[in-house]
Amino acid sequence: MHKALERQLIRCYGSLQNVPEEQRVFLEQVNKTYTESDQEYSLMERALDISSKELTEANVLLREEKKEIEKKVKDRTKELSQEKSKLNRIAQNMNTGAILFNKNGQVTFINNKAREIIKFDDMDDSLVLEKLFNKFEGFPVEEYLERCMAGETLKIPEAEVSHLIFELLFQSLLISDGEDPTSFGHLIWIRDITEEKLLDRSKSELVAIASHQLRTPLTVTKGNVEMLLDESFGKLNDEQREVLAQTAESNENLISLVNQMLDITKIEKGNLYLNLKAVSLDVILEKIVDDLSVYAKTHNVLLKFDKPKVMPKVLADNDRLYQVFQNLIENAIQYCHNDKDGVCPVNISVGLNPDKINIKISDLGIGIPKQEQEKIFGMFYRASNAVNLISSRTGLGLYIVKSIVELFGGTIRFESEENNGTTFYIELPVVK
Amino acid sequence: MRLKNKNILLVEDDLFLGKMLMRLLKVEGAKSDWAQDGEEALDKLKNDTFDLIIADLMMPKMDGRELIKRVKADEKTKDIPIIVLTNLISSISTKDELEEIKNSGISGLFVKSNTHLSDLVDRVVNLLKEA
Repeated sequence: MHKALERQLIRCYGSLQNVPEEQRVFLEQVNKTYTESDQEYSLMERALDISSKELTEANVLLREEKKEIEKKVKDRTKELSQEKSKLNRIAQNMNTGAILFNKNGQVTFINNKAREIIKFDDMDDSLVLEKLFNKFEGFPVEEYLERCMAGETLKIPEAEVSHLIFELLFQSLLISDGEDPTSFGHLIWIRDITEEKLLDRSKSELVAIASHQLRTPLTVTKGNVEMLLDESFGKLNDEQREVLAQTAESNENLISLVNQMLDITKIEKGNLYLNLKAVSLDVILEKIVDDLSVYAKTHNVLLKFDKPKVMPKVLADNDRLYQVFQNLIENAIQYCHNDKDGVCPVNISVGLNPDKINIKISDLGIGIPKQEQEKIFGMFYRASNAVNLISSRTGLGLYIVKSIVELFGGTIRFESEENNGTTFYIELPVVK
Repeated sequence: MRLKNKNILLVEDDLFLGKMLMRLLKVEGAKSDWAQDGEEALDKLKNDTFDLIIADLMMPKMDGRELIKRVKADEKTKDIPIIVLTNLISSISTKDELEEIKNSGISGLFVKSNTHLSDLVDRVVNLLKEA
C-alpha cells in the first residue's frame, strides 16, 4: 500500500483493519493509481536529471566550438587582411600605373606609378581624371574611358609625352554572374614603354644604316663583274664566264635582300615613300612579262597575260606596283616545278568591277602545304616544300607585297593546293 | 667608246667604288677626274672644265647637297649637268628630303646597288648628246 494513502486511511479509520469492506476495491484502484503515478514521477525525475546533465555538457561543448569558430574567423580575417595588404602593396608598387574607377566613373584606387606618371600628389582622388586628361592631352583618353565604361576594351599603343612613350590600356572589370556578366569597375593601365620603343627604333635604324652601308661595296662588285662579263677588259673563256655569272647572281641576291630589309624598316616605321598617281596597270604588267620572259624560258615557263580591251587606272606608286607584281610572277615562275618535259604555264588575267580591278596570277607549281597556308604572309616565312627547291629567297617578299597592296587600299589572297599550283588574287581600287 | 673625249668629274668618297666608276668611264672612252669630297670637287672645278658631274651625297668635309648648291650658284659651273649616285634615297630620307634633292637642279638620280651601270652610262651619254 502506498505510504501516503496508508497514512490517510489510518487518520480516518484508526487502523487499516477498520476500513469498510465496500471501499476496499475502490481503495485498491486508488492505490494502484498512486503507485503508478509515483513510478512515472520518479521516471520523469530521472529523465529530467539526465537531460539537465546533458544540457550542461552540450553547453560546454557549444562554448568550446564557438571559441574555435571565433578563432578561425579571426585567423582567416587576419589572413585575408594580410593577403589584401600584400595585393595592395603589389598594386601600389607595380611598375605599371593603374587607376581603378567604379561604375559611376569615380576613382577608387590609384597606385604609386600612376601618381608618378600623371604627377598627382594630391589626396583628393576626384582630381585624378583632370590630371590624367591634362597629361595625355591630344590623345583620346576621355573618349576611350567613356567607351570602356560602355564595355569596350581599348588601347592607345603609343602616347608620346615629353620624351617618354606610354601605352594606355582601358579595361572593364567584369564579374561573371551566371550568364550575365556585370561590370564592377574600369581600369586604366599606363605602361612606360620608352625603353623598349627606343630599342626597337634603334634596331630599325641599325638595320637601315647597315643595309645602306652594304650598298656601296655591293655596287663595286656589281660594276666590276658587269664590266668583266661585258668583256671590257678582254675575252672570257667559258669557265671564267660561268664563275663571273654566278658571282653576279649572288651579288644580285644580296642586293635584293638589302632592298627588302630596307623596305621592311620603312614599312614598320610607317614611312614607306609612295608616289601615288593614276597608274596604267596593263603597261606595268606588260613590262614585267617582257622583263621576265627570258627568266621564264630558262624555267620552261610560258608567261601569258590576257590583256583586257579596256583597262581603268589604279591609284598607286608605279615602282612599288611593279615590285608587287614582279615578286608574285617571279614566285610563280620559280615554283613552277614541273618534272614533265612540257611547258608549265603561268597565267595573268584581269577582271573588272565598277570600282575595283581584280588581278589573278595562277601557276601549276608546287603549291603551298595546307597547314602552312596561314603563315605565308609572315616575315621570313618560307614554305617547307620551297626551301630545298630555291635557296636564294629570303621569305620577306610576300610580307612586303601584302604591306604595299594594303597601302594602296587593296587586298591580296590566294588559293593553293600542294603539287597542284597556286593562284593569287589581288584587288586594287580604280581611279574614278 | 660612247664618251670619247668627254671630261667627267666623279665625286665619291669610297675608294673602290671610285676606282670602279673611273674604270667604267675609261672603258667608255671618257677623260675623267675624281674627287673624294665636295671641297676637292670645287677645287677641281676651278682649275678644269667638265662636261658632267657624277656625285655622291654623303661625303666628308662637304656633302653632295652643298656641292650641288655651290655648283648651281656659280655662273661658270651652273650649266654642268649633275647626276647623283647615292645610297641616301628611300629608307632614311623622308619624302621632303627626297623632293629637295630632286628639285635641286640635278639631271638624274640613281640609287647605288639598284642601278645597272649600263643605265647610268646611257643617261650620261644622252645628257651629253642633248648638251
